[in-house]
Amino acid sequence: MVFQITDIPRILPEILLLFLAFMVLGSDIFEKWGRSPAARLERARSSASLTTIGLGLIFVIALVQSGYVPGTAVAATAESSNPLLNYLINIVRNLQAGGPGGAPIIGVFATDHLTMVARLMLIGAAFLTSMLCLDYLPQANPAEFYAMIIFATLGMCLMAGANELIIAYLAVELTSIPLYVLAGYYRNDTRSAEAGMKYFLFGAISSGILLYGMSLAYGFAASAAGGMGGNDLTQFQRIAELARINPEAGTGLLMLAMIFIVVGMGYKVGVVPFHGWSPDVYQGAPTPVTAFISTASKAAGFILLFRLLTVAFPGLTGSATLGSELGGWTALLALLALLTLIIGNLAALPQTNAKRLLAWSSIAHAGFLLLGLIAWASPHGFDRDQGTVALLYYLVVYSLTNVGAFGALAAVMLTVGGEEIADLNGLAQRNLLLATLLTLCVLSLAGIPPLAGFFAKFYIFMVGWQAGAEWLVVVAVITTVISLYYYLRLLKAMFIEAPISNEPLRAPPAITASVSLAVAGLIILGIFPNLVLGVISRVQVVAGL
Amino acid sequence: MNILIQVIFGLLSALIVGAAMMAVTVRNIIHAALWLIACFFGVGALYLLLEAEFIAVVQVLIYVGAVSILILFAIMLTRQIEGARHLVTGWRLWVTIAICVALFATVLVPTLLSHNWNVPPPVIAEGSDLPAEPLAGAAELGRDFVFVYLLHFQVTGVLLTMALIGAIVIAFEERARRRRVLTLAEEHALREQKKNRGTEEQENR
Repeated sequence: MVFQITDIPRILPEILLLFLAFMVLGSDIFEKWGRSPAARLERARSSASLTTIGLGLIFVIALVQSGYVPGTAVAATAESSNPLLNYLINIVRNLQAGGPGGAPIIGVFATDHLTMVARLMLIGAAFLTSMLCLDYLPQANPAEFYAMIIFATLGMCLMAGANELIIAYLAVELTSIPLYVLAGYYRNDTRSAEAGMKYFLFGAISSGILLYGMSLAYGFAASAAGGMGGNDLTQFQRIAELARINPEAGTGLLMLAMIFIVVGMGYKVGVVPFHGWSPDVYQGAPTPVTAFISTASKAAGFILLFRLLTVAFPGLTGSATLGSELGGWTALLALLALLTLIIGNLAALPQTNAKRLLAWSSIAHAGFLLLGLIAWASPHGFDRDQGTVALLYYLVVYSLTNVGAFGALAAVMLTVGGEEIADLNGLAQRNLLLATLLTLCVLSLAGIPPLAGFFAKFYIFMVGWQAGAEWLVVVAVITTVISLYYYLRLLKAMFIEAPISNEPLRAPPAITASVSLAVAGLIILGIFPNLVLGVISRVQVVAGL
Repeated sequence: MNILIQVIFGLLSALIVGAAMMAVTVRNIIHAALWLIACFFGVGALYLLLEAEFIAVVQVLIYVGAVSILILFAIMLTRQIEGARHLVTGWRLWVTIAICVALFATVLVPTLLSHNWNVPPPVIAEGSDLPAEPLAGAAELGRDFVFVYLLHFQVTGVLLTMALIGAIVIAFEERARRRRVLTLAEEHALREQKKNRGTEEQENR
């Protein structure tokens, strides 16, 4: 398979992200590099706004390309006598030529519905993050800060579409390295430097483990093909196919490869017992970066894990039902989910730092997300599809919520000057809007109806139950109830505790706008989940399944 | 022939693993860098054993030649060559080692040994010593990079560019007065100065 010229529109969002990154870096040269704080602010602002506008545009282009907006699909077939309208229609048509479907590009990058949905989610999260950064400016080298966010987004989009081991690994690195730099961006702050260092060390080791698993999988494929394989031995479908053709060629080896890959990705998405880095990194990194790491990076990791496990290792799915035939990757994930749910939620209880508390809560949410993957334990195709839909819906909702929650904390950090729970005291009296937004995010994380978090949790519990992991769902429900305690502690601080001073706070406008967008999404998705579910349910057609 | 190759492979692996272990455990960083160079050499020889001459040469040129010299330069510019001893000792270390060795011996080694590795060597054409299709010559690599591995090639390029920018961002501190990269020694001195100033102010108060 060779790269065709018609493949270019299919990776258009990625190409545009690359252009945007270089544009942000390049335009910084032409800014005025003054010494005064005002000049620095102006320079940072211009980079930030270019990034935000660019990401917004790329989001719109990806949205039009995917054809998920009801009107655009019709427009692609329409003709008009008005030349201007015709021009627009042609643009839409050309964009949609690279829409979902088709064989993976050179067999390595799939542009199916999963990639499309993931792109929208990841670019959307990056857009909201860069909007947070309009107020939360980096101290030095602003252009590079935003370029790193865009590079990471590019890596995440590649992760979501990766259909082959090498590109998957490259994408993981392309995502991780900018995040290491971003986490340690505030070098003069010891916590930030520590976060960068810690993230880097853990990330490097997890990359090594991931790579080892991948090399074992490749070794299996090469040995099963018996020297007859071409260049396609690292493709996910090919590995699955070879495992299907010679069933006793090396289940042990394949199992070992799968375990290494799960462990490596487990580090990246932060599930217990591979979570050691996340509380410190989440707490130390600049708050918008924390929002980005905890949402987009986790979402991309889960999508890659989903694609790897379901496309490359379908023979090792196994079952998560307790007792009879516990085995395969669903059982492994069920065990990880159990640990993640219990430890994540219990460790969040005694935290006094709001950011650290949300970090532990984010670890706990990874446990819920694993339930969506465990749905593959069910032998029925319907349940599996439901699992995919539930996983993606949960990821969308979780991303929106966490960007909102960390964004609100960033505003508190900027105005009050700290991120302890005590700094939230009496926030409702000082800035009711900010307190309400944070409250809605926290309630959605806790899963209170009618917010989207409730529906997402309910859906994923239902899916887990049908897959036969009833024991896990029971644990998940119990830990959800426990989690209410620490979420309500945040609310108590905001609404009941007496404020330090009665002086009203002026929340930064861009952060407020970004958080409001996220919260609006939460409410709309909570009341009309079908808006997104209709799109997500198309994801069932994953390349190579 | 086959046994000879296996013996060479074993020796090379021992060299690589041993050198890598030394690189991370010795206290003197110059020694660590030298061990790293030994490790790179071993990897280059391993490539040669796999008949990937081009990659072997590139490995020696780039890693042994350029990268390690850069590392040595960076070390020369830093002041502190001896690192403090931060070895974790006590029962935790032994428990970790025990778990690792147990897993390695009971899971990894048996699985890898019991697997039926069916990877025949490349076909050798009649009347010639060379395989019909060289595995990783420069021409094959070049052709593959623009056909089958086009996307990988491009993504790697982006990855390296981004890593370069990231490294500069970490090393480069933007200052109001002068714009140049401080060496770690200067940076350290500056920090000390700041710290001293801070304590003096406190004492004055």
